[in-house]
Amino acid sequence: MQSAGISIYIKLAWRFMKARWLTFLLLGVLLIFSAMLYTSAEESLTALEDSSDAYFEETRQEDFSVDVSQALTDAERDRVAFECDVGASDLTGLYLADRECFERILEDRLNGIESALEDTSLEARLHHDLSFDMDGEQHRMRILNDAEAINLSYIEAGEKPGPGEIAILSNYADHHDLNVGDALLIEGESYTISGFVLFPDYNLPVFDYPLLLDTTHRTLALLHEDDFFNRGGPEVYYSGITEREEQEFEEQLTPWFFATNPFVQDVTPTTYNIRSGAIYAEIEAGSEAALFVALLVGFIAFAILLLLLSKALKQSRSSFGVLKALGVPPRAFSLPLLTLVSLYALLFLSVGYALGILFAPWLQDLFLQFYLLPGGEITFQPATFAAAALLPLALLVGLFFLVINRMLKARAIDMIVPKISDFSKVSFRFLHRLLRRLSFILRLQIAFITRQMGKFSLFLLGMVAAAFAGFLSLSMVGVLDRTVPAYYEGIDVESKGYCEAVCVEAPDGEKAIETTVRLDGDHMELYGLDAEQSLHPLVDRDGEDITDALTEGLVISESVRDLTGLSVGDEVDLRVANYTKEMEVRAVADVYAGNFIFSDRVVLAEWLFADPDAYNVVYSGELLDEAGFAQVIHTEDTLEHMDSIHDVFNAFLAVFIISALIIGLIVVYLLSVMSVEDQYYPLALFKVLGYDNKEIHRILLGGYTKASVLALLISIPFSMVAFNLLSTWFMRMYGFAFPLSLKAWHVIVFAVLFSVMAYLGMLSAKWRINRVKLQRALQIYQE
Amino acid sequence: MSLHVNGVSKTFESGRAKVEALKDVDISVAPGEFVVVLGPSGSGKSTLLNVIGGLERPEEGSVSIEGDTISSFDEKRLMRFRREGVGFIFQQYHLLGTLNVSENVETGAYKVSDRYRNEEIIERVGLSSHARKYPHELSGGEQQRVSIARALVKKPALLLCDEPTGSLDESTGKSILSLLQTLHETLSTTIVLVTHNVNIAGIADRVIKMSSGRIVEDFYNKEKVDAHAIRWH
Repeated sequence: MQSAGISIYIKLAWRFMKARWLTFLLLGVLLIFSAMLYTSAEESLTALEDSSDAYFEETRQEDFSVDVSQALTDAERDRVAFECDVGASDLTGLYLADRECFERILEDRLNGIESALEDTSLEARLHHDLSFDMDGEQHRMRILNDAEAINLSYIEAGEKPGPGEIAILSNYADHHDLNVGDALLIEGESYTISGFVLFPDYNLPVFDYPLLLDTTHRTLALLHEDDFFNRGGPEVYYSGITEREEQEFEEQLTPWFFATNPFVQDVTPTTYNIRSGAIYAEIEAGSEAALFVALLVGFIAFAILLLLLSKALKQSRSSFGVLKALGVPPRAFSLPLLTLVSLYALLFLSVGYALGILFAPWLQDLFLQFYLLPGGEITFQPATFAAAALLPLALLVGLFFLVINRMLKARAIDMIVPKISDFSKVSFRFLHRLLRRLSFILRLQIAFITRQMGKFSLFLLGMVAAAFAGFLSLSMVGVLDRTVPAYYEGIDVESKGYCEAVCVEAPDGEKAIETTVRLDGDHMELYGLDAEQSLHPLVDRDGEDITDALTEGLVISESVRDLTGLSVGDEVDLRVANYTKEMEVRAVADVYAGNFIFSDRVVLAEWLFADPDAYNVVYSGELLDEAGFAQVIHTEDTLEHMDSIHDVFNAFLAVFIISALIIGLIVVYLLSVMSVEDQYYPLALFKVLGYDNKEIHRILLGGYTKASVLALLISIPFSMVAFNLLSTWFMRMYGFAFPLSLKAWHVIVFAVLFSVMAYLGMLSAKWRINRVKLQRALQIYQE
Repeated sequence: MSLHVNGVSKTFESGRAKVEALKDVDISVAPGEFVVVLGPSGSGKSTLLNVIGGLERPEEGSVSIEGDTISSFDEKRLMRFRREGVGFIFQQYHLLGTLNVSENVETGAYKVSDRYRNEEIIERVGLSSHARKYPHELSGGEQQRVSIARALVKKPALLLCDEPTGSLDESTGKSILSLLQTLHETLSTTIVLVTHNVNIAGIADRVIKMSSGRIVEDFYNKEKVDAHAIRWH
């Protein structure tokens, strides 16, 4: 008897699933997405984290870095004049005049710090920045010295360079088909590539302004010591290792650095340093985001799966009741059903896990396009498999067990002859009186919705979530074009010519000042612009010109507003080295290219250089000649760099766009199917009573159709608020702008897709019920 | 309202097996008649009721009501016929749990102009004090009364009852049958009631017995019995 019951209920469950093969297939796709998204992110990030931890330890990554003035302090100038008989005013000049004296000054700066802080050690990080031609394009290189104790070089392949040799980034080499043994021509000097190198203080290829993470046009490099010093005077900062805790470091050490060392311009703990610490936040946020997305998708899939199963059980309750009345224990028929459902879910979750493992190396490679780290090996992680497949499965089985147990607790006779279901109605009685004047159909629509609040709420929530996923997906299309490319399209600057310290000759363009400032611990780019200049207009989100606001105070970019929460009228303290200036925010510019703060150039010139005419950058509407400038950056080059970065990002985004759209549309389809299936019984009854199809659909589905439109409408302001929060979150977590915004075309396109999927879902469900005889439908689906 | 069933046959397929539910059935029912169709399970009585009500189409033969051959109606006309001309009462009541008594009754008269007011028909079935209650707040007998009110609110010419007391105890069953008798007398509605309970046959004007899809006996009761007076078992 028991084994007969088992096989019967395996057959019943199988037939139920077979009859809804499309619904179950789509649910399977959701389960796959859930497991795949989590697994690919978790596996790639775990491998990256493990390999990075080992790498950072082996190479003794700095705990903090100290940016120092390249200019000598007054005391140092006097000292080098007295001790070395050199009249240099900066480190580069001193190096060229007397290398030994240069090294002594560096050593003294370092000793002064180390003697005061016994638990802290430092090492000078020397580097050269240069430009060179590669395939007819301008490329940039930062050559770092081979450190002795902190930030040790890491050779990924080949060997450390000997004289006449160079080690470069493998990413850069890959982009240009360069191999060990090939020659690389840099500023007329030919070097042989000895190997591929990584530096722990540069896990992002960020080494000057603007913030470009482009390894197609930029590389770090290691030269033999002789070649390094033969290149002339290097620039300097210090890298440090400390035993102090981060909070103590921030609260005590940082102020000490500024107070006692006049040459210190900035002190940045590694965690907050974009070039070396971004990976920590990235891994943490990446894991959280993967978990959140997987949970969201998984929750939707499980909620729908459980609803379907409880419906299946409800339809089979009289059969269960008969078996129970015959003395068959409930587990005899609940276990086969549970087993089948578990196997089904496990199959799809496992496929999701396997696909996740398959995609993990691709995702890791995507990370490694930007993060200069040794890749980790993707291996089977039991914990990840448990979290991606077994845990959700256990949750599903547990919830299913609760549902089936609750049903099977009923008396056999009640299962065979079901009672009419109870529902919450008390709170709606007043509504009934209020709505008495409405048309009968409208009253029925409202009754079917308000008296099935649980089902309706789930429907509404699911539809809002689906619409949000759809809007999110579409709003990500071209999101990166709204950052740096949009900024450069909005200005007429073709070239920026940067001077050493300050410019001295009459400009062949417009005067400007660019420097970095700290605002509440965050690093910002401070731009000094003349209000009358024409090459760099500022506009707000509505397209209004706000350049004049510079005369009244600061103009911040949207990125800064996202990051800091500042708004017009707020007073802020800007800090350069140990000097602060209080200024008022007067406007917000529609700029997402970076953390930019714009100010009147004259005000900055007086503050920073004590000279109202001073400037350190020249903006030009023409291509500037590089002669006469320390560095020239052409807008065209910058945009080319951004394009190559965006290609990689866009590939990554495309996966998210397609995934979110598919998930959203699947949810719309499944909920539409369920909204019809939930109404099978009244649908059949109304048919028997002589209502035509149009009337039945208006009564039973009209409310859900209106609810779908309502969900779509609700999701518009919800998405707008959520996108703002997400943009802020991205800015605060990752430090870069991700300006999601909802446009009219997003709403129109998704509304069309949404309607098509909802229509298809309802059509498919109606097609199924039309095949069932009315009297039979009444019996099967009785409430 | 006159009803004519002429040479109706109906076959159901169940897997490879074919079941002949109705075999060449002929019936004529005069306006205002109360007919009980009696037969054991599987005799075809419910199928006959469904064919008369336009829920099933016969493979052979025709069903005419007031001269209209409803078996040849398209789906749209059939729906209108069911909406305006026929009231259904089921063994399982088939009420909508999300609607209260008055609303359930209202569903039976949508777009019907010549109809009873809800209050009036609810009063006639003895549920005036329950009009705002929901089905789960009512007993089985009360739920069946709601079902009767829903069927009658549109003043149907034909009332089809499928084992209306099948789920009720003796006392409640009798009160339902008594109600049907009263309504038949006061409203002059033609009623066709199918049942397997031979004792119920006494309340009707006419009894048609069915077996294996055929009519085996058709007779008029010489003396109708009051529903409360019949034996139940």
